[in-house]
Amino acid sequence: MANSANSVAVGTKRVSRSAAVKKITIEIGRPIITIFIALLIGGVIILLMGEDPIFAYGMLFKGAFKGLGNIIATLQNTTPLLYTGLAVSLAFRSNVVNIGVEGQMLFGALAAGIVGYYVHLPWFLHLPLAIIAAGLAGALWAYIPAIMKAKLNVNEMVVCLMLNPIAQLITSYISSYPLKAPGPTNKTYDIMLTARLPQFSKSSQFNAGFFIALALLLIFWYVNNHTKKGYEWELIGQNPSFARYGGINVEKSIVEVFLVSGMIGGLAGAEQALGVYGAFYNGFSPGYGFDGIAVAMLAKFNPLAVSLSALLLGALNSGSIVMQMMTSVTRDLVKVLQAIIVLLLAADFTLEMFRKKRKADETLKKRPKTESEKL
Amino acid sequence: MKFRKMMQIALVAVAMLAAAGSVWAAPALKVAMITSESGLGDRSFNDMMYQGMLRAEKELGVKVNVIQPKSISEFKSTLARAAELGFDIIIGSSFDMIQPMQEVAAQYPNQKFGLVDVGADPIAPNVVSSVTKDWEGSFLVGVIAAKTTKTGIIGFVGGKDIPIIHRFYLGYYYGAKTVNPNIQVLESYAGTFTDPAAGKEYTLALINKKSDINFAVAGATSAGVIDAAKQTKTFAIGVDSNQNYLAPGFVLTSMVKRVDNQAYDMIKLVVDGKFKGGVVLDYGLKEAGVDYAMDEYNKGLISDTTLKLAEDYRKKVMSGAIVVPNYMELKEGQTMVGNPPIKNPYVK
Repeated sequence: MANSANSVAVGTKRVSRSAAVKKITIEIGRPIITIFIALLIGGVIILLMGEDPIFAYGMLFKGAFKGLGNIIATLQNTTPLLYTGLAVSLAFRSNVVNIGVEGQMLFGALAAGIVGYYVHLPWFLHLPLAIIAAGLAGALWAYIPAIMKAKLNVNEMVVCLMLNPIAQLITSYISSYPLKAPGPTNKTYDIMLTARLPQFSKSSQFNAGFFIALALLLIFWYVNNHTKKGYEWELIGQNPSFARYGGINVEKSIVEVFLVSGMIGGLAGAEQALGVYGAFYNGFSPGYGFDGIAVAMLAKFNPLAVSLSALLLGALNSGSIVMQMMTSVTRDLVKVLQAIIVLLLAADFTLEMFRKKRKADETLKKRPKTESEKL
Repeated sequence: MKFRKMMQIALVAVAMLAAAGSVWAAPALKVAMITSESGLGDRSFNDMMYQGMLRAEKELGVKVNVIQPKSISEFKSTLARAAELGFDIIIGSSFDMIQPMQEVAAQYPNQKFGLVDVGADPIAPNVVSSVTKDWEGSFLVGVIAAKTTKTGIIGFVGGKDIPIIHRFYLGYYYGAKTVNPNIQVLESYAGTFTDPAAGKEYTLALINKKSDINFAVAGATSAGVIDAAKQTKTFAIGVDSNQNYLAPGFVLTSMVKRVDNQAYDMIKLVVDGKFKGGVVLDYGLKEAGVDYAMDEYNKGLISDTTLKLAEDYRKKVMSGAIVVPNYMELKEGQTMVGNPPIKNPYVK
C-alpha cells in the first residue's frame, strides 16, 4: 500500500510538495475510479434487466439523499458500517487480518442486551455500563484469535473465519432459548429505557450511536497519527522485524490491536441493540462485519476516510429501497456493485503487494553484502 | 328533426367514448410489497406472497413494486418512505413488521396498509391484517393421513410444546379421528424450531413405534422430519409453504398457508373500494387461506378416493357442517371438542 505516512515514519527521506500532491491525488483518485467502474458495470446489468440505468441511478441517489427522511435513513444505514469499518481498518493497518468483526459485533450486541435488561441503574450509569459491556464482550471474543496468533502463530484469518459462525450459533442459541422473550421472534427481553441510545426520528431508528461512531473515528485518527501507540501499531504491520529491532514487543502489540478492533466491533453491536432494536434480535445483522472489510479497504484503513466509504455503502443500501419502489431493479444490484468494488480493490491491493515485494527484493540486491554473506 | 336526433346520438356516443377513455386512462393502482429480511427466493412466505402479487397484476391490473429490506432494522424507514411516496396500499408479511407498521401507520393515517398472517389482534385503524386458521388445514391433512396410513398409526412432530403448535395437532387429530375412530395419533415435540437433526431423531422414534406418516410443524426442524421419511421410506407432511419438492415421493403433501390469496384479497379490497382498516381477516378453508399442496412431486401418493373424501370434508367445513376445534379457544378441562364432538386428547 503506497502510504505517505510511510516515508515520514521511516524518516530517511523527505517527500517534495508536488510528489505529495501527486500521491494524494492517486490515493483519492483510485477509489473514485473503482466506484465509477462498478457503476458502469451495474448500469449494463440494469440495461439487461430492461430498465433505464440513468433513471434507476437517479432514484438510487434521490433515495439516499433527497429530503430529510431519506437522509436520516441513509445515516442509519451508515452507522453500523462506521463501527465495523473502523474496527477492520485498525486491524488491517497493523496487518492483523481481523475478519471476525461480525462475531465480535454479535457478542457485543448480546452483552448490551443482557446488561440493558437485567441491570437496573439510573440512565447516566446504565447506558455507559451497557456500552462498556458490549465493548468488553467484543474484545473478549477477539482475544481468542489474538492470543492464538501472538503465542502460537496461528493464522488469525482462519481462526476468525471459523469463530464467526460459532458466535452466530451461540448468540442464536442464547436468544432463542435461555434468554428468549415470549413472542414469535427469537430475541431477548426489551432493554430498559435507561440503557437506550436516544433516537432522533419518528420514521427510522437513527440514534445517538452515530455520533459515538464519529467520535471514535476522530479519536483513532488522532491515535494513529499523533501517538506513539499508533506509530507502533502501524510499524508492526509494515515491517515486524524492523519493529522488533526498534524495541517494540510485536506480540503484545498484535494482541492490543486485536482487542481494540474487537472492542469497536462490540460497540457496533451496542449501537444496534441499544439504539436500533432495543433488544438483541437473533440474526439482526445482514453482514455488517463483512461489509466493514469493504469499507476499510475503500478507505485505505484511514479512520477519517472510513466515514466517507461507510457513507457510500450506506447510501447505496438506503437508496436501493427507493429505487425498488420506483423501478423493478432488485436489491441484488447493490450487492453486485459492492462485490465489484471489493473485487477491484482486492486486485489493486494484490498488485500493490507484488510491486512492494519486487521493490524490496531489488533494494536487497543493491545493498552491500554483510559479513556472514561474504563467507 | 332527424338531424337533432343524430346529433343526440353522436353526443351520447362521444360522452360514452370519453367515459370509456377516462377508465382506460385511469392510472393503475400502485401496490408496494415489503418482504421480510430473507427476501424473494426464500421458497417460503415471501415467494408465495409474490405469486399473489403477480396474480393481482394480471387480474386486477395493479402495478406492484417489490421492496426487499436487508434487515429488520430497515422495516420502519422502508415503510415510512413508501408511505411518503404514496402507494395505494403497502403490504408486509412479518411478525417483526407489526410494531414498525403501527408506528408508521399512526404518522400516515390516510395511507392504507396490509399485514399478512400476523395473528388475531388488529394492528391499527388503517391496517388490514389477516390470520390463518391453520387448524382447518391440519384437519384436512389429518383426513388424508388417516386414509393413507398402512399401519393405522400416524405421528406429529411439533417444534415446541406450546399452544400455537397444539392447535395444529388438535386439527390433525380431529381430522384423523373423524375418518377413522380407531387410529392412533402419536404426538411429539422436538423442542426446537431450528434443528433438523433433532427433528430427525424424534421422527425416527415415532417410526419405531410403527407410525408411517408424520406431520412436521417445526420450522427448520421439519427438514429433519422429511429426511427421516426419506431414509425409512415412510411419509412426511410439510407445513406452511409447499415442501413437497424437498423429498419427492416421500412428502405426502404439505399443509400450506395461502399467503398469496391473503395478499391478493387485500389488494382486491382496495381495488373494489371496500378497504377497511383495523380489521383482521380470517383465512380458513372457506376463504382459501389454507390448503394441502398437490403438485408433480406428490403425484400418485394419495389415492383418488382419499382425495375425493378430502374434498368432501373441505365442503363440510366450508358449509359449517363440521367445526374443527381451535385449541386456543378451548375452555379449561373441556372434555369434548369440535362438532361433531370427539374426546379432547388433551384431557386425560
